[in-house]
Amino acid sequence: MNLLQIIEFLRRNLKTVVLGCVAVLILTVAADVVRWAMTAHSTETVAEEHASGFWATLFHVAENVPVFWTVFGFLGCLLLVIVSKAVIGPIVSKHEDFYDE
Amino acid sequence: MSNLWIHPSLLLIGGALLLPLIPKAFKKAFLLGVPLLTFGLVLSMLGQPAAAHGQILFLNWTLTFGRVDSLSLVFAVIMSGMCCIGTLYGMHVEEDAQHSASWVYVSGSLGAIFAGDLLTLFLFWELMAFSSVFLIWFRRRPESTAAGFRYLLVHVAGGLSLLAGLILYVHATGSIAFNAFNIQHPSGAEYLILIGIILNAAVPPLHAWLPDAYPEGTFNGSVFLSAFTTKTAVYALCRGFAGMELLVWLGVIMALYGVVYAIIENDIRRLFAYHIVSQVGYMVAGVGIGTALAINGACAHAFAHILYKGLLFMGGGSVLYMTGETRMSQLGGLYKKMPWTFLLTLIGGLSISAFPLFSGFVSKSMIVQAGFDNPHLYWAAFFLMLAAIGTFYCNGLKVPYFVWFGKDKCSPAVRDRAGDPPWNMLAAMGIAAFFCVFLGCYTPALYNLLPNQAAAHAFHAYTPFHISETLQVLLFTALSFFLLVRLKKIEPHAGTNVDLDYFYRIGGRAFLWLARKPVQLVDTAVGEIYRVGGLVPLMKSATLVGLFDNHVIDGAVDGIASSVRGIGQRLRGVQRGAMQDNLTVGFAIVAGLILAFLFFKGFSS
Repeated sequence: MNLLQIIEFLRRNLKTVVLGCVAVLILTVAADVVRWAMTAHSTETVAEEHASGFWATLFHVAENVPVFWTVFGFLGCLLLVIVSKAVIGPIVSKHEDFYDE
Repeated sequence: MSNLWIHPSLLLIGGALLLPLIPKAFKKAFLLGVPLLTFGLVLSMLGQPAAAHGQILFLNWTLTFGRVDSLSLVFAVIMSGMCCIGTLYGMHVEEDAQHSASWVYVSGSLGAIFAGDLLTLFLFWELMAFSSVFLIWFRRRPESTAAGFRYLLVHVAGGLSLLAGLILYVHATGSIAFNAFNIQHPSGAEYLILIGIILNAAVPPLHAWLPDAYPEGTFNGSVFLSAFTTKTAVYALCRGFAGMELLVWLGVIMALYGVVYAIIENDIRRLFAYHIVSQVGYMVAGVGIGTALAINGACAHAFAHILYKGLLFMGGGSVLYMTGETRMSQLGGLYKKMPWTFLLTLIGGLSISAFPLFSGFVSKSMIVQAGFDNPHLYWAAFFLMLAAIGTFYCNGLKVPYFVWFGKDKCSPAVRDRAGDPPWNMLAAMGIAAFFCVFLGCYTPALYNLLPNQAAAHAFHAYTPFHISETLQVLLFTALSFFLLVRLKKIEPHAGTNVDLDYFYRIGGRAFLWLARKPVQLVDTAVGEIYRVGGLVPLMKSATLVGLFDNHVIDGAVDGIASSVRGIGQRLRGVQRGAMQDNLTVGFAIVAGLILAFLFFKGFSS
C-alpha cells in the first residue's frame, strides 16, 4: 500500500477520521484532568507569593486550573486570525502588482 | 595531539574554487564529498578541549580564526551538516557557480562562528552577504535581481554599522577580542555592533530584507538562505549579548510579528520566511533571558530550526521547482501528484510547531520554560505560547491544507507539471525529516551538544504537564482552524502585503524621480563618452580574446571562461544605463572607499 493509497483511503473514510480526531480531542482534555487530579497542587502560600499583577495571576491559573491550555489554544488561534485578517490585513494588503507600477 | 588545525571554511572555499575544473564524471561525487568532509572535520572537533587555533598576528592585533568551544561547535555542527543536505537537494543543478556561491556562503557562516575576534567576524560577516546574494540573483527574474540589490544594500548598511561599532569599540577598549559585551551599560559602540548583528537576525524594524529576498531565491538557494544568515547572528548574540533585557522585548515582538504576517500571506515561501522571523524571535528572546537554560534553549532551537526550516524550504522549493507556482491561491489538491513532498513538508510543519516527538518540542520548550522560571518574564512566556499557536496554524495546518488538499485552484499547466521531485531532492528532505524526528525522540543527541551541560541535564522536555499543555494548545488550534475552514473565513487571497521595505522601495523611487532629470542628463553624456571611448575598444578586444579563447584555451579552462562570461554579463548590466543599477553600484563603490579610508585611519591612529 503506497502513500497515495493511504491518503485516499483516509479521505474515503473522512467521517471516521473526523470522529477519531474528535475522540483525540476529548482524550486530550480528559488526560489533562487526570494529570491535574494526580499532581499535588501548589498551596495557597506559594500562590500568594506570586499572585500580584495580571501575568502572575494568569500564571497561577495556568498552573492550577485544568484544561487552561485547551481554552488558550482555541481562543488564541481565533484571536490571532481575527487580529491578522480583520485588523492588520486591510492595512497592509495591496493588490499583487503593487510594487510593479 | 597534532597542532595542525584546518579551518572548515578553507575546505569549502577550496571546493568552490575547484568545482568548475572537476570533470563531469566526478562532479556529483565532488559535490557530496566536499560538504561531507567539512562536516566530518567539524565533528572531529567534538570532545576536544576548548582552544583557540589559527592565530595570526596582523598589525598590532592577534586575529583568531579558530575559537573552538562548546558554543561555536554546536552551531558549526548543524551548519556544516545542513550544507550536506542543501547540496544534496540541489545536486542536479548543472550550474557550478550556484554550488560555489552556496559553499562560500556557508564558509562565511562557519568563519564567523569560529572567529575569536571582531575583525575576523566582520570579514566573514561580509563574505556571507556578498556570496548569498548570488543565490537570489541566480533565479534570473527581474524581481530577483531587484530583491538581490535591496538585500545587498541593507546588508552593506548593517555591515557598516558593525564596522563602525567595531572601530569605536577597539578604539575605546584597545581589544579586538569578541567576548561578552557590557550589557548592563552598553556604550554607543556596543549598540552599533548590536544593530549590525540584529539586522542579520532580522529583528523588526530591521527585518524587511528577509521576507523580501528569501522567496525570490532559487529553489535550492533559499534552502541555504533560510539556514545561515539569521542563525549566525543568533550565535553572535549568544556570544556577545546574553542576558540583555532589550532582546527579550525584541524577541517577543519578532515572534508575534512574523506570525501575524504569515497568517495573511499567500506565497508559501514568503510565509515560511516570515516564520523564520518568528522562530528567530524565540532565540533572540532566549538570549535576552540569558540564564543557562535560556542560552541552551537558544542554541538548541537554532539547531532544530535549521533542520526543520530547511525541510520546509525544501518542500516549498519542490513545489516551486515542479509546478513553477508558490501562491496558495493558485494551488490546492496536490496530494495526488506530490504525496511524498506533502508528508515530508508536514513533518517539517509539525517540527516547527513543537509537536511532541518532533524536534521543535525539545528545543522551544527550554526557552518558554526559562521565561516561566522568572516571575518578571511571565508575560514573555505567554506571548511566546501565543506565537506557537500561529506557528502551528501556518506551517502545520494552513500550508499543508491549502497546497495539498483544499480546493484545487491549479491552472492546467501547473497540474500537468506537478509531481514528486527528483530522487536527490526527496532524499535530502528525507534526511532532514529523519533528523527532525530523531532529535525529538532521542533528546541526548541534541542536549549533549549544548554549551551549559549542567542545565541541559537538569532539563526534561517530556514531563506530563508539558506534554499535556502542548497537546491541548496545538490540537485545539487545529479545531479552531478547521472551524474557520468550514466557515470559509480563511481562503488564501492573491495580494502583496506591504512591510517596512515599503519605505526604501518607495523612498528610493521618490529619490530617483527627483534625481532623474539632472542625473539622467549627465548619465546620458557620460554614457555616450563611455560608449565611444570605452565600449567600442572593449568589444574589439573582447572579440580578440574570444578568438584566443576559442582556439587556444577553450577546452582546458572552460569553467573559467564561463565564469568570466558571467562577470561580463553582470558588467553589461552596469553599462546598460539602468539608473537604479548604476546608482546602486555607485553607492557601493563610494561606501567601499569610505570604509577603506575609515579602516586604515582606524589602524594608523
